[in-house]
Order: sequence, then C-alpha cells, then structure tokens
Amino acid sequence: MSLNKQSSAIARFVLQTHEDAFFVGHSLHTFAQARNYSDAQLAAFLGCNIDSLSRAAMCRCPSYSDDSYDDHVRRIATLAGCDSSRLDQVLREAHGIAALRGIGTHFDNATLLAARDRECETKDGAQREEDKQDRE
Amino acid sequence: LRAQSARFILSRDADQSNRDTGGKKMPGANEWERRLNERLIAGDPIAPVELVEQLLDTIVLELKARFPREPDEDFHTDATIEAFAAYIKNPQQFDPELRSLKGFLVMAADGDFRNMLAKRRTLRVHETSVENVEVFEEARNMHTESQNSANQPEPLDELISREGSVEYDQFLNKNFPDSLDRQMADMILGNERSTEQFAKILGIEDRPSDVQQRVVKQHKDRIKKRLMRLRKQDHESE
Repeated sequence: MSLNKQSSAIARFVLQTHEDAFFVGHSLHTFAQARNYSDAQLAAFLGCNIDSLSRAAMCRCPSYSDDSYDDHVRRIATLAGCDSSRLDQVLREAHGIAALRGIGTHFDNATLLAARDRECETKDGAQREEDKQDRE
Repeated sequence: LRAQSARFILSRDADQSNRDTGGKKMPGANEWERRLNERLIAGDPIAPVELVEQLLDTIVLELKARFPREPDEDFHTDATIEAFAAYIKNPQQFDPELRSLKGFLVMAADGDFRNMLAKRRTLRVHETSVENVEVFEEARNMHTESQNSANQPEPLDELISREGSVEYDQFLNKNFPDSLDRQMADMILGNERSTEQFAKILGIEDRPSDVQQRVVKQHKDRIKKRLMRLRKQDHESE
C-alpha cells in the first residue's frame, strides 16, 4: 500500500494492519495477495487513489454479523473515497480466504458462506440482508 | 495478560496520583478525546484513523524525548504503535476522568517501550559471546545472590534495565565522564559485541583487524572492570 504523504510512523502503522485482522488493512492485503494485485490495481478495483488505501487500512474491520455492517462499510468507503460495494466485496472475499486458511478474523463464520457466494458482487444491500436472515 | 496487568497498573498509578494530590482532581481528557474514546467503544470503524492521524506522530516524538539515546528510531515507533493498537482494541482501559488521552497513550507507549527494551536485553544476554561470559556470569551470580537475600533486583540492575532513560544517562555521565568511555560502557551494557562498532567509536576502523581487536579488547576490559566495580559497590551498599 502506498505510503506517500504520510509520516513514517503512520506508514508503519498501516503496514502493521496487514498482520492484524482487527483492521481493514488485513483484508485489503489478503485480497490483493490472493488476486496478485499491486497497490495501483487494488486502488483501481476499489475506485480510489493509492493514498486512500492507507486510510481504509487503518479502519476497524466491520463485522458481517453486525446490523451496522452496511453502514460501516459505507462510512469507510466515504472516508477513503472508494466504491462501497467493491469494498464490501473485498472484505467478504478476504475474510472468506482467511476462514478457509483457518485464520481467525474479525468477521464471523457466516463469512465463509459469504465468500462462497460469488453472486455477492452484484447484490445490493437489501438482497444481502435477505441472505443474512436466511442463514440465521 | 501481561499487557493487561501493565495497563491496570497504569490506571491504578493514575488513581494513586490523584490521591497523592490530596483529592485534587488531575486534568482529565478534553472533549475531543472523550468523544473519540466513546466512538471507539461504540465500534466506530473510522475512529482509529482519526486517532492515529491526530496523535501517533506526537506520541512518537514524546517517546523519543523520553528515550533520546535509543539509536533505533523504529523502536520508539513500534512501541507507540503497539500502545495505539492495544488501546484501539480495548478502549475501555482508558478512563477520561483520570487523565488526558494523550497522557494515557504516552504512559502506555512508555510501558511498551520498556518491555521491548527488556525483551531485547534478554535476547542479547542469550546471545552473549564467549568473550563476555565471564563478566556476565559474575554479574548474574551477584544478581542471583542479591535476589536470594532480598528477593528484589539491585538498584544498579534496575537502572541498567532502563537503558535509554534519563536516569540511565545520568548513571553513565556520572561514572564515565570521558565521552569515549561513556559510549563504550553504553555499548557494553547493551551487549554490543561487534569489534567493528567499538573500533569506530575509538576511531581505529582503518587500522588492521588484529590491531583493532587488541585495542578494542583493552578498552573493553577496562570498562568492564569499572562496571563490575560499580556493581560490587552497589551490592555492598545494599
């Protein structure tokens, strides 16, 4: 992730988020690794500039089981200036990967199902809510 | 668990310090700090960004001012990051009535910095070369005797464990008035083993390596003897 226009301390913090599932940075890193994306490619996928990735990385990762999940994703997307549905996709896919690898994440077990659900890319918030209720 | 108990001690100390001021309340957190703390507790996903962008650099600078002699600048940053991450994940540990958030984070980063120093020291002791075994064995034996008798670390050991602190600097300044000796003592206490590093301090890095080794050894032996003497005096004064 690009660390331009940041202090070295903040840049180091961002790097640390890659290793910590509490932060969105972990999901961004996992997703980018899985798809073999560079920072520029990840930023393009999310529809933001490279510098914004760092701000998104420092956010707390929203919990899928939380009622506020959609709202949290939107707020992070607004902060980072990226596309919220793409960010949602990144979070789902990354946590699905982590779950398959057996790594504990800030998400929950429902994520595994969500990750398998490739249709999520095209679903809007209402459809996702229905899915969530079905699973519960 | 250790981090939690360290933070409990910090919070307890703050409580004690309130009592020490005769019940006079210490200034607590400002409005921004209180709100941010509430947002973190409520799970606001973007609150960590605000915290990091507003305070991380400031706390790193505070820590550098507290431990100016630590040569590895990443050490200050890593300790601060550790403190921030711990607070972000567990914001309830901060009590806005007791102190400012900035003050709390400085204290937490200070604690993490000392823990990191202690870990590094332990690692270095395990890596101690044969050259240093005699000195450190002696030190360890004396330390063990002292612990057996009083079950407490000696003041000098305690002081040395605070490498980089103001007290540590005062100890070096007092006992090693010569700046070369002081630097070498600092390196020996930090378990620096590279002849090359000592040779640089002594300004003989361009000399042949056998000469470097001989001269460095002479100086190191002299400093080590002085350190052992200080430790012995410290032990006897107990």
